[in-house]
Order: sequence, then C-alpha cells, then structure tokens
Amino acid sequence: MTDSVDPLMVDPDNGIISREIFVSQDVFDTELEQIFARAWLFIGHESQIPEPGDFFNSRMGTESVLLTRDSEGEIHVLLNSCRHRGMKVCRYDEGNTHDFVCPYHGWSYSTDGTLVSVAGELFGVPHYRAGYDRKLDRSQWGLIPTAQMVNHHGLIFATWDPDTPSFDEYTGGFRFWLDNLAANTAGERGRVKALRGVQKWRIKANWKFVSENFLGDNYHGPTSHSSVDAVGLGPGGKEAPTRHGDNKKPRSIGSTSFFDLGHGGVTTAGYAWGYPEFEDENMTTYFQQRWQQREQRLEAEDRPIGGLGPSTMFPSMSLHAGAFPRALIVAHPVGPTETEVWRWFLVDDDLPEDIESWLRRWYLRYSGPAGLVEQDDMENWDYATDASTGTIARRYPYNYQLGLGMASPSEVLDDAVESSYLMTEENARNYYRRWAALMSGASWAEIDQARGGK
Amino acid sequence: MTGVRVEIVRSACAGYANCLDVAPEIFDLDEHDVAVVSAGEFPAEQRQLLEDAAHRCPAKAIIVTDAD
Repeated sequence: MTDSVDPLMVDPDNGIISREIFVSQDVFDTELEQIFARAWLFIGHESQIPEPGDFFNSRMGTESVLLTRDSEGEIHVLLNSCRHRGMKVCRYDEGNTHDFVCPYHGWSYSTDGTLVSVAGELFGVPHYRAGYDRKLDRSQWGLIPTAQMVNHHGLIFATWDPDTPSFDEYTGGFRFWLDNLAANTAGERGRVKALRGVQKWRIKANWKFVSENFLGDNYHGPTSHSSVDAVGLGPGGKEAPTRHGDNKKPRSIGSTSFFDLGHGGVTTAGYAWGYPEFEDENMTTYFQQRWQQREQRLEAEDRPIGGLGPSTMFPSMSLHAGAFPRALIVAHPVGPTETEVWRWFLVDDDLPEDIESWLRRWYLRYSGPAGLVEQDDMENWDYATDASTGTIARRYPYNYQLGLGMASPSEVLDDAVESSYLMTEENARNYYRRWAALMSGASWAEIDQARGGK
Repeated sequence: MTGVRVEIVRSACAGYANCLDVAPEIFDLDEHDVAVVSAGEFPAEQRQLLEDAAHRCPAKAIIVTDAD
C-alpha cells in the first residue's frame, strides 16, 4: 500500500481523471485506509433493529460490522471480528441475541447491560480458570466499536476515526437530502421504515462508478435508459420519451454539488416536482394530500422543498430521497474491479397496506439486481471498468469537462454550487476534489484549512 | 416456598468459570474443567443467585428448575 496517491491522477479544475484510480490495486488499498477508515459511512436503518437484542450484520468498507441494540435500547456499531483469532463472531444477516459467541474458540461478547458494562465487552472465555488462571483482562478485549456513531432521524452512520468532523459538519447542506430520505411522504422526519430484506449482490465494477452515477450524472439517462423509458418504467417518468430517439428538452431541474464536501445531487434544493399520477385514483388522491402536507410542513420548518432526486453522500452511499422511489444503495468496495452493492427501500411507516404493497413491487422492478433501470447502469459500470484495465487503455484519462466553468453559487445553500443546466460533471469534479484531499493523507485539520469555500 | 434444582449440562460446559464469579460457594470446576455444583437442590432464597449464574453462562450449561 502507498500512503497517498499521486495528485496528478486527478485534475478536477481541468476535468481530467486518470483511469488508474478505477483499476489500480495500490489506489484501492489507499482508499481503504484514507477514505473508508475515515469517512462517515451508512450502516443501516433504525427500523431494522427495533427491539433490544436486535442486530443487523452490516459492512464498512471491506469489513463486517454489527449494528446492534443493547438491553437498554442504545444502538452500537461493532467490528464483527473476534479479538482472539479474528473469526466472525456472527454469521447471520440479522436476528436477535445479546450474546455473540465466537464459533472458533468460544470467546463470548455481549450487549446485555446486566452482563457487561460496555456493549460488545468480552464476558467469557472457555477455560478461564484452568487455561488463563483467571488473569485475562476481559475488559480490554471486547469487540471494537466505531469511534463515532450518529442516528440521523433513523438513518445510522458511523466512522472509525475519532478526528472526523461531526456528522453535521461533514454533511453540510446535503443534510436536506438525508432529511428527505428519512421523512415520509408528508415530510415528517423519522417516519419511514426499511422494507424487510436488504438486497445484496456483486458487480465487476469499481465502487466509484456506482457513487458517481447517482451523484449528478444526468448525462447518461437519455442514452442508457432510453429503452426502459420507452416502455414507461424508466427514471424519466411522464416527461420521458415514449420511443427511441424521441428525446424531449431536458427539464431545468439543475444539479447541486457541495463544492468541497464531495456530496452531490441531480436536482437542486429549491426544485421539486410533485408526486405522480397513478392508474389507481385513490393513490393519486392519497399522495396529492401527502404532498400538500409536505409543502406546509417544510415551509413551517424552514426546510427547502427540493433535494429529492438521486444523490450521493461522499464517499459511497447513494440515495433517491423522494418517494418514487425512496431507496438507498451503498457501494461496498471488494477490490479495484469488484463491488458489493446493498440496496434498501424505505417506505412511510403508516402507509395503507395496499399502497405499501404497490410500492414494494414497483421499487423492485425499478432498482436492485432485478430492477430494469439498475440493470442498464450495471452494464455500463461493468463494461467501463473492464475496458479500462488494459495496458493501453490505462494510459488515457477520462474526460470530466461537461459543464466546466458553468456552475454558480447556490441561492439556497451556502456550501453548494449549482448548475442551471441539468447535464454537468461539476458534481463529479467536486467529488474527486474531495477524494483527492482525503487520499493525500492530510489530516482533517489540514483538509479543513485548505477548504476554499464555494 | 419451593426449593431450586440446579443441573449442569456437562457436554455444554466449556469452563468459562463465570459461575464461580457469581456463586463460588456453590459452583466449582472439576479435573476436566467442567462445572460441578455443591448440591442438587438449594433453598428458594438462593434462586436469584443461581439464575444469575445461569444467565452469565455463555454456554447456557446451567439449568435452574423448581424442585419437586
């Protein structure tokens, strides 16, 4: 592993990014150290662990972590690796237990406050008297907790780095996108639940292709998704072309980038489209009412009406913050050319049963490994990665010059720039600017000092 | 009050010795590092202590039941 990467690999000011950062093992190893061990990462949704003892087996970077709720109801994120020989102490996707007994030698950890003083503490080792003479200091050998954790209206995030800026500072104005993701269709935050069954699958692509796709790439839609749009299932919705080649003028939804924080969205904070019309009139009426409630609530709470479209929180969590769909995807790195993607769908926690059922079916048809829109994207990510690994291909950088010099400061957010034209690579350029800042190995204090504002 | 019966599942016990932390006068470990109890039945006032010992056993090798 190298400690940092050659800064010449990324040149956001001129829109030039080396292919090396998508295919190199050295760069990948450095990403694990400088990005995934330091950034705030999404862990799971609170609704996945409602009861004491509930756990969800999640992941940070390449490593397995347990999202747990202890006997007092507190949430923890613990490294799923035994302190004795590293075995995964839990191999289930989810469940309920206060004891994690390692299947290798039996070291036992607990989240039960009557057994331990700290969740994840080691509370038993086999042959403690005969083998250790009761001298092993069990308080020093508990499961490793993350350095910081936050519950943002039900969305759980954590970081391994105690020096990482606070979650609010790290997310900046992007919190409005997260607020929308965490809110029901009437705009009430903390009123959504995760549909059971997180979808997980592997693709032969670099993880950044996933993040970049949702970050602000409105450019690929008309080309990549024209066939799903043509049959009325695509992301273009009612505005979409109904047949190949029938492209209408793009809507002026803008594109927002958080200049030095690296997050981005394909729509602005000030722009929002209402909820769609459905074949079922009852659904149309229901969601029209919810939209009105949302508008009133957001105005009363001084929250911007927009921030609903596809977006990415640096580095690897992407989301659709509106209801159609309301979903999130995390691109977990496996290797430079392999990624494990996890997809959650979130719905209002009080939806009528028939509407929740309709949404579930629609979400699954849209995104996930069987989703028609996602399949379009996966083809691109896989083939682009593969065709960039060759000796000759690696000599030539990618072009990120779309909309270069065409962004201006946001009127709604004080830490973002916006592009008035929806097709731009401003978001990607700023994402890689942030990427390069972390990859340089600079401390958070140094990174903060170098922030140039918008 | 009903007395309490304590049974050790010898095949499950792994010598964690947590029971000794809770009730050293009741539990011990034999030459095979397997838990043994000082008696088969105990008075009702020791029920909480015995249930604590069972709760602290990672192997769930301590079974506490009502005596007949």
